Amino acid sequence: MDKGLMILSVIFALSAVTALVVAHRALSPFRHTASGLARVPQHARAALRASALKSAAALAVAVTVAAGMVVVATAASWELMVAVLVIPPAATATGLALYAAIPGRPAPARPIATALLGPRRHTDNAPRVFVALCGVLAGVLLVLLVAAGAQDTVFVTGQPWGLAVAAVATVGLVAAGWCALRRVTGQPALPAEMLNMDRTIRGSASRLILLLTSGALWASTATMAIALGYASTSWASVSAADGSPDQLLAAIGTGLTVAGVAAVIGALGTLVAAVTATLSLARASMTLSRAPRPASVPA
Amino acid sequence: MIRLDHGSAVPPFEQIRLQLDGLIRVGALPPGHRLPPVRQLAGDLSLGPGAVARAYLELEKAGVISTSRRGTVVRDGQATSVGVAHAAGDYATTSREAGLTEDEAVAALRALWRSSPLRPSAS
Repeated sequence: MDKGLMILSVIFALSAVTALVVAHRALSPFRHTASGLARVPQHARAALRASALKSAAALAVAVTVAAGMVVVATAASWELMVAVLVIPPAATATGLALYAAIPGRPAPARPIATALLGPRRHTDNAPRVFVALCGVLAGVLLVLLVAAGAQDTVFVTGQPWGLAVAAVATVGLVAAGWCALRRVTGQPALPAEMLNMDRTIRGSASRLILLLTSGALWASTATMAIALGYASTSWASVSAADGSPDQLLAAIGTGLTVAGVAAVIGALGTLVAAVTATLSLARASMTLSRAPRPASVPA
Repeated sequence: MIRLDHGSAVPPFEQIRLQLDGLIRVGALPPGHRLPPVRQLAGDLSLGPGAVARAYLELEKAGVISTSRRGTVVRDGQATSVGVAHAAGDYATTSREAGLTEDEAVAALRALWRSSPLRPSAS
């Protein structure tokens, strides 16, 4: 077997395992949401239902916008690279913008209201590593886009406007994700006796937002890395034809291509996790809706 | 944690002000502690932001808290009743052990408060 193919296979396998582990870990709060709320009061049911509906709406809008953009890309003869680079961040940004735009559910009316005396932070409900990952991915993607734009873009794409649109979509995605996290944080809290439930619902929503954001960023970063890797290899070939093969450029090209392939697996893993998470949240909400309602609020 | 009785005759802003002031005086909210933003607290308590803003304003005027661009924080040197908090904790424990309810314990304290003469502090 070809040595390069073997290395690529090993990277594929490692990436697939990593993606599975990431998806498994990211989904654990959703499983707890689905399994641990057999008997909960009405306030929590309503909060979970609202959260599930908003998440499902965001995902549905993202998928619809993506489908619409595929139609436009086909009709306007976009290059495949430009389409894969632009559509994931643009569609996901639209879905998350909708999530951020939908007003929060008001606090349940009750004679005695309670509140904690500390500010809620946007990163309270989501793993900081996950937030940092989204920031790093967005940074890497923007650097790759600038690097591609600064070179002779003919090697990368015949539609250089796609790079600018992708950069705008990436910035928009990060902004929409941040606004959606702010919306989750600004949601009024459940009563103090349901603090754990409140944290679970906020955590589920925040993780879903980060899963969608990172999934789209993975997809665009992977596309850009593979495109730049291919372009670098092409430049190296051109240099070789002139009689001075550029080993460094060839190595960079191979590295970028391999990183891009790994990022494709990351994108698939996180997008599958995001869809599964939404379904899990919606299923938990439906299960609670059908469950017999407790006579009184447990202390 | 703060509790707000929507059925009380005491206005919501006054309930918030009194509880925050009490918690700060007994040291439950230490100096530098950041209070929630007005909108967050108002949302959690099912109130308009005006009530919380007024409570914060009153406390700021009294020099108990300070507000800046970084948020609203408890000022230094406001925990003047830490000893009272310890004594109240002991009283609550003793009352529970004696089988008193919360209302009975408060009623006993109130009766004691009204019957005992004001003693000059030993300074």
